[in-house]
Amino acid sequence: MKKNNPNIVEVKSLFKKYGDIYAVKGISFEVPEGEIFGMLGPNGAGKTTTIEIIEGMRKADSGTTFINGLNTLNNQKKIKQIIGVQLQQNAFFEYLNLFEIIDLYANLYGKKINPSDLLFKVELSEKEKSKFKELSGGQKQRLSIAIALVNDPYVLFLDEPTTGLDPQARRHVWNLIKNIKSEGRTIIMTTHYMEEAEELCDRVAIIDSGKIIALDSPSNLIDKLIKKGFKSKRSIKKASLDDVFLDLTGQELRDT
Amino acid sequence: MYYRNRTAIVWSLVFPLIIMLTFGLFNFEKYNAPKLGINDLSQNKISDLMIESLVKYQENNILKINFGNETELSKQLKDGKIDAYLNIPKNFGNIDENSKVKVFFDDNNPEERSAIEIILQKSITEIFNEISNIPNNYKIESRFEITKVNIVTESQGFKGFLVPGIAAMAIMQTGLFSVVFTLIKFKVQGVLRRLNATPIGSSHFIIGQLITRIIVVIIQTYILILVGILVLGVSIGQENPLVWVEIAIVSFLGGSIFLSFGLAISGWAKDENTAAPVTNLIALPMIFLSGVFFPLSVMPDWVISFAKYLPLTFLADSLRSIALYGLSITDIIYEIIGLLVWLLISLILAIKTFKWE
Repeated sequence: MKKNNPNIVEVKSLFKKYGDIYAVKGISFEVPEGEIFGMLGPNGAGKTTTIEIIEGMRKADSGTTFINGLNTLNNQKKIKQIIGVQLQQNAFFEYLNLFEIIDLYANLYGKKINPSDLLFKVELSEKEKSKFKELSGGQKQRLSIAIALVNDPYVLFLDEPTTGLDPQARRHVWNLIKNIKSEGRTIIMTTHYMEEAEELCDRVAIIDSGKIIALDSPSNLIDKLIKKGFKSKRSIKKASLDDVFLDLTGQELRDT
Repeated sequence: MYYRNRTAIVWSLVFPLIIMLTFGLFNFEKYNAPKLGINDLSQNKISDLMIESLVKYQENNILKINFGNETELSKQLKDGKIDAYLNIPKNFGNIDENSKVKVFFDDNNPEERSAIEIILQKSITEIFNEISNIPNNYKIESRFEITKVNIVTESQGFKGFLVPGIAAMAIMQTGLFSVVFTLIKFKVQGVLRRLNATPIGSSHFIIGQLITRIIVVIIQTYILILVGILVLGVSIGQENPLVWVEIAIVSFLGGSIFLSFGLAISGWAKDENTAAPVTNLIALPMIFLSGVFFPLSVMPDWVISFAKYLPLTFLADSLRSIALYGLSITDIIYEIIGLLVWLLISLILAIKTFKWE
């Protein structure tokens, strides 16, 4: 089913206006299969709009996007079938437990899966019978990632998957994302946390005012900055406050 | 801060106003003239006199008269369409036991019965005075005695009127409210947005929502009518074995109309603060204007002229015709067409206004 093209996602000169303001002003990039591609940028830079256009949930004013060689515009159903989506704000049916929610979403894709396996994968096995609103922030994020995986997608879109999580929960989501990558899936994610992008992403695009202003691997971007003669005001130490915090409080999840 | 919520303040006044104005339209004193059927076999001078005097009551809106033969009238009486009927035998006015007038009353309507009795008594007295002016006539009162017969009818009185009306109202309430508040919540929370990321189409989603609720609507109608039968003693469609199927069909039609209106409201409204008053604004006047609790006839004519086209009117009338009067769907084509037209309108609105976010 997969094409020979190494780029599973292709975005070509996207434009999108809301009223008089351009949210996306000519964004183009490619993502090769198996990569974690990060989109960084301040609020309102156009990250979410771009992601939602690629997912087929919004229409661009102009420009094209391809997933696995399919044009998003005229293959919406086929594309939704092969992508997994986690939105910035997540809400699921309040009267269903996690097992039922996963089962329902699998059915929407016409897939038969065992919800317990998926819940095990995201470390929510004990919460199988709980309702969505009874979950902590980290658990909600992990559930929405699990739901994004129900259709065994080629490409996974994660919009700010760790916003608002404590350091322990964040590490667990990171590990989950690494596991998903190791299964050969491509991941496109947005984040406001630079250490998260550095830890996870093969390449990042830095977006501002609807344009990509830099696109490279995190370490290349850092090298380029140093070459320009940049000197950090802080002296770099061998450990961060994050490390101190986790050393003191442990890696264990606190939200069960 | 409360004062800045203008909509809340406006709406808190709108509802009492609507209720006050709608109830103000009712004319409970509007006299509902009892209906009398007349079967005149005699067609002689004396029977003409009698009918003439009764017609005068009709002209003063004290009585409604319906002519027909005995079979027609007895069916109308049983169906509750008339309150009594009069049999004027051949040779009315002769001194003969067989030429006495017989009146058949509906035993369920004591008030109408006494009104008709008084009117007949007056009318007889008038004829009697009239005749005494005619020469060669004997004043023999026994010729004009009235035999009164009580007929046990299936007319159910107010309870029978109320049960199908309430069932229709409940269909509307479930249709509008169940779908409006769930969908608005889905929309506000973003559940719909997430569903839009799946391959499910909006029409599939809408149909799924409709089917689940239609089932509830039909079960609810059955329960209400069963309670009417078991607790209130209303009897439903004994003559028509298909009555339950037909009730389900009509509930399905009515339910689909109001569910579609609900979908249209939830597609159009941004949040529950706009959806709630708009839903109430549609539901509340209809409850009072569609003949749920009171027959439309207590309303002023200008209200009736549009109220008879409301979807709830068609629904209540259809349910009443089937459940109460034992008619079948083929007998109420007019109401069914009315419902179908509303279904078309509401479906188009629902599809046009639906949005995932």
